[in-house]
Amino acid sequence: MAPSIGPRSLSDHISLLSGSRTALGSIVLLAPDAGQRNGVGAPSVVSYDNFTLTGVSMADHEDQLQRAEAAVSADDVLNLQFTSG
Amino acid sequence: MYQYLLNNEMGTLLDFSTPSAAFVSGPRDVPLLSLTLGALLEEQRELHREREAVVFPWQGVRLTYEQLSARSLIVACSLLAAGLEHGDSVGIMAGNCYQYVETFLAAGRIGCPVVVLNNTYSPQELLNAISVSCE
Repeated sequence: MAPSIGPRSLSDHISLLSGSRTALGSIVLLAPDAGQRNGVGAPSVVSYDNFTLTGVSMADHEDQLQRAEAAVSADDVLNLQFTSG
Repeated sequence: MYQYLLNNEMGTLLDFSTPSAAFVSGPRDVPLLSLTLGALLEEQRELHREREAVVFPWQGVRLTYEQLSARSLIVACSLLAAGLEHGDSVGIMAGNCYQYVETFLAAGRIGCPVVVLNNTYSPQELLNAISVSCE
């Protein structure tokens, strides 16, 4: 989630999502300051920088990455978009 | 920068100096390419390496193919570390930014469909879209 898109703030969007019980595991905020955990069942909010730090320090998971990449087929779903129809 | 792209990069792809037909036709029986987004990215990285792949002037970010590939691997690892598995969805609601490209490529690398969330959604519409995507 971006904190804003153009002049429009998404803070209400983020508040609603982070306070709701959905299957959403976590919200990555494309902004420097984040890092709170919300109520039980609600997703955590983490900044993109902190989120990607976990990937940087994942050298020991290289096997996991290779396995995950090897499991992808050209026939898998890549992109899901809702149309207005 | 735009001028640079036109002169040096796009010039090889789009030649504006000579007019070309608006409608062109070709053979219909050429087999479609069958490769994953990750494989396509690696193919392009091999071909272009230090050439610029993406430029986001408003963020002050320019990434070469080599850097974009490396960044997508880091984000892919981050997604795996967050517990995502093949087939789990990754939603994005953002304007044009480098994180969008990195995330799209990263999710594609590990078989996670990217759910493009409409930038004009209200908070409730966003919540609905996420509830549907996560089913």
